[in-house]
Amino acid sequence: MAYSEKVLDHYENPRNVGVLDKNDDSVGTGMVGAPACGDVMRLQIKVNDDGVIEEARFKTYGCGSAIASSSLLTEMVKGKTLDEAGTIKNSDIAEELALPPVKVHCSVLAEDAVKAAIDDYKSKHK
Amino acid sequence: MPSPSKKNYFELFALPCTFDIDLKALKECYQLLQKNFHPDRYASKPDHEKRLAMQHATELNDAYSVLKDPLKRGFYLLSLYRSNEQNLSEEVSIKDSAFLMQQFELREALAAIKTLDELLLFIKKTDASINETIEQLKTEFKKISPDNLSTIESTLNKIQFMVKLREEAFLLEEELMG
Repeated sequence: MAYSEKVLDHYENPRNVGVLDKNDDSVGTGMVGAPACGDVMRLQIKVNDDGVIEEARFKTYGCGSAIASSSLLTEMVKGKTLDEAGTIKNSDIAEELALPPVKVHCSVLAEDAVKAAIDDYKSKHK
Repeated sequence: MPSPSKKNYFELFALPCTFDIDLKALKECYQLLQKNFHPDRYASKPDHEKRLAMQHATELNDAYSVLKDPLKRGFYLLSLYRSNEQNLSEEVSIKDSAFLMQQFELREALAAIKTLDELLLFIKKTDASINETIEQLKTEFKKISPDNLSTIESTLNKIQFMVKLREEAFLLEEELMG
């Protein structure tokens, strides 16, 4: 299957790959996996005192679309508040990357990952 | 000649609808039935009979490929116990973070492997945990009821991740062997 240029770009030059300290109080970690394809994704956000996401990192073991979706997402959440980041929809990612229908689930995985990361951060600050 | 059956895959091979099936009986029954519906036997028959025989043969192949594979067999058996609605509303992602963390570490360990010896050990361990989880699945399927369908699904999902891990390991094996 042919990947779109944007997917290839993120796949070949993934942004913000890496890991943040999951024990740091300012870091939220989201781990999700897609049983259908066996992909696993870790997405982390670092939130400053104003509640703004100042850094994001990901690591994804999966197909090109899953890597591109999580890479794009780390760029999208940077500079956003937690509430703003929580409103990002998988369709925003799928459209931006021009994902074909069979790969839309990769963008759903990315959306679930950022929601899980936000939940993890919030659970540390109850 | 009977028309294509409305039987489920287990019934097709006269097997009980259980997870822990007799694989030898499955294979023997498959080969016998496959012979009965072989196109050669229908070469001189009218077209509609040829077509039916072809449909039977295709159905047998589909059924056999599902039942001989424990993961596919498990998902298929689970689907027989659930409504169509439940079967369609599958979640895209799972969030069992302890399990995912472990899968992540295994992927990282695999990515760090440099030698064939290390890799073979890794594959051996992966196979062992797949087999262990399949044993667990057998026990769960013996107690199948509306109450443990989601437990069974989550065990099947875990096996799916491990199978994927093994596929990745095989790819690396080809690479390391040049």
